[in-house]
Amino acid sequence: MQTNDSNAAPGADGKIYDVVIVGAGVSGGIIAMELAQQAQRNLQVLILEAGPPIPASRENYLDRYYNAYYKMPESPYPPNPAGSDPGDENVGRATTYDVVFNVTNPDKSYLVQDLSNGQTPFCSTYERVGGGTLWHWLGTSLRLLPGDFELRSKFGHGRDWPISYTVMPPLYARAESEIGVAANVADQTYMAGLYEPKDYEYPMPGVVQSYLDKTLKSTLDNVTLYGQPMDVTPTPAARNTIPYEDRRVCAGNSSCIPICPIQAKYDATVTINKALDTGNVTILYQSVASQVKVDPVSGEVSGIEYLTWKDPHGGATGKGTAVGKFYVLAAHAIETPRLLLLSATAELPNGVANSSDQVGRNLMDHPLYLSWALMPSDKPIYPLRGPISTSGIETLRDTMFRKEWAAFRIEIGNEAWNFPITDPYQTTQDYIDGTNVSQLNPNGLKLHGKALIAQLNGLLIREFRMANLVEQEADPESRVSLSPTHKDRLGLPRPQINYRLSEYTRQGFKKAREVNSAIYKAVGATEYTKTDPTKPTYFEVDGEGFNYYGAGHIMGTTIMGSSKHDSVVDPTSRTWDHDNLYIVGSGTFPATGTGNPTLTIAALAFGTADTLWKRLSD
Amino acid sequence: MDETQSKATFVALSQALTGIPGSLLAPSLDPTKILDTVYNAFVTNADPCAAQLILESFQALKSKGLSDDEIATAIIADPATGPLAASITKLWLLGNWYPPSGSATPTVVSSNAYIEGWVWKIMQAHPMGYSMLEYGYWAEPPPPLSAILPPSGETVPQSSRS
Repeated sequence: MQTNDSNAAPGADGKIYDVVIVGAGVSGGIIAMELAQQAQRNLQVLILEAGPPIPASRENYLDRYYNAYYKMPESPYPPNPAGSDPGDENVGRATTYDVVFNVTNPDKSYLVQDLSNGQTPFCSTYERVGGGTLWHWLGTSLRLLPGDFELRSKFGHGRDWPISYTVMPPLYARAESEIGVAANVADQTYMAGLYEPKDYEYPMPGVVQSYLDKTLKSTLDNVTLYGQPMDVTPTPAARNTIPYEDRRVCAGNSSCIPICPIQAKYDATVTINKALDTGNVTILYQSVASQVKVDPVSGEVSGIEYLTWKDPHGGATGKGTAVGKFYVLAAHAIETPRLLLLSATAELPNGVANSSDQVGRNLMDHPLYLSWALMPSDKPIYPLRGPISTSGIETLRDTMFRKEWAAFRIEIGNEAWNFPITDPYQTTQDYIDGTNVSQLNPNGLKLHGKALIAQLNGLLIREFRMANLVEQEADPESRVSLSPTHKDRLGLPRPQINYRLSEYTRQGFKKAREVNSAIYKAVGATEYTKTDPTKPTYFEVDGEGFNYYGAGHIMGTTIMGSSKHDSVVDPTSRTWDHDNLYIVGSGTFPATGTGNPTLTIAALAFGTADTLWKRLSD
Repeated sequence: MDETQSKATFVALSQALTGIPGSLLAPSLDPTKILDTVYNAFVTNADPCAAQLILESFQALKSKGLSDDEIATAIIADPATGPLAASITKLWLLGNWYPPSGSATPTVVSSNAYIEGWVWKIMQAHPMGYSMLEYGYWAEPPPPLSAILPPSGETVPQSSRS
């Protein structure tokens, strides 16, 4: 149905949609599905997606992963991160390959990282393909905790959310149903008051804990640190433990990141396909939003211009304008502010939705402290079997110590030392070449035959790692802006990054190391965590050196607040400046909290869909 | 050496280097054609003279009646064959071709080579992204290594023991 009760001229396809969404990921997918399923209204939704379509089968992506020498989160997805020239890509994106190899070279790194004046690199990445970044997520689906919403008022750091946890349980329940979260409420005892109603049940039973989890748990049950028990808690995960919505049960492929071979892990293509099944949703792929147009009289958004492409390196082949009554930007926390800044005009010289000057600012992550250790020889734990992580330690997420140091959760990894040193590859090479990059071959042994097999077996079955997701405060100087010097193949300025860790977060790292080392000691493991002072991620706190990694949790940049003077969107995710423009995704988070962001992203998207439905019904 | 001889010698050499019986490296029932995959990667990537040299060295040492262990020790110690021997061992274990010179970026030979890499079996796991097991298997230890790789002297994997 073509709607025509708007003053706007129709778009390139002659239509005026009810809602135009930028980005075919989890947020955009949920909003499209929720609106398009309101059958009585026959609402029409258009999604502009910069990247290629959702493939009919995941086999090609899986094959790209098998054949990638650098097995990184982005390896399965186009463009190939290894050796990509970001100036020659229509649709580039941040990659781990860039973080490892190109971070100091803006000619090779998609993100132009300003490392002057003690700034350090932003290390988290995303995808620009149909289905978005959830292709490569781990699946962790923790709820945020009440204190996560009150970082300023309760602990004196960063910003508060303008909403409290009390509004979240019904939204979380809808998100948990849509993405299919497996967990047992009885296991999530680290915080009272998370579930409403109290007899709430997750849609699937919790994921079975790994042999590693059980081994650690048996020792740590009696260990207390900072007044908190070191409970090894099963992690709620969007991972099927029973058949769910025609998707298979997890077979423990140990490749959740970067791709589940059997879609037992939820990804946004599930929701997008449901949206498409309504017949009321159109997706334009390979259509890169390049300008949000604002009517200078009404102040409302009047259309979104986009560039189309065919050859990934060939530049634009056409352009159009998408027109709707409402607009939703759902392009994640680097591309969304980039688009708003790209949309600057004579009337809006700072860009769209930016009267507060906060667009692009407050860029945050959960800077990740990585540590690794070897269990004793009589206590192998058999890694790389099962989901990459099945448990964590959650008890230090919301204590009063948050006044002094940034809180964190601990993710326990069932993946040997794959994250820290790419094992089993590194240790294997060490024992064939007589090298010691892994630190596991201190005598430089060069083995062959059965001695090689016995040595590798004896070491690899004992490797595990823990990762602490440390919270970060909103800092206006950590930001995304437009590079004045570097563009993509479409001629659009690439994102420039300024980023730094606050003293609060650095103190959190210090505690993370102290806690992890105490845990390793308690379980009898030998720690091999290594710090490399030559890496751009090196920093010191109180004379102690650390490296940090990206958690993949890009947050801030279009933050939610209670005042139009210091935030970009209001508590409903509507931009303060433009009545018909909404922004969804973790870009709206004013504080990172201590849980992985996707579940909260999905929950807030349901809330925004409700708001849009109400306004469209008026 | 014709191709059949060359392939057979390659398997015997690989057994000496990896400690994995040739009957497991190149099983008579070979549905994934892993021997072709690995052998072709060796022939395609190794310098032809170096490839010929390492196979001939193996045959010469074998004809002297040396054991697998003695042969592997000699080949690895010889600067003319050692680097290529290391590449062959890594190829079987990891499915990647690491150029003996170490100067170029290694490459994954193929999906098949990756999935059939022996390191996954050696660590009693499975390739990342390729599990043939069922939900929840990760809660318990795997079968012992001897169920996959027979201890010294045996050629047939023994049944699992717990």
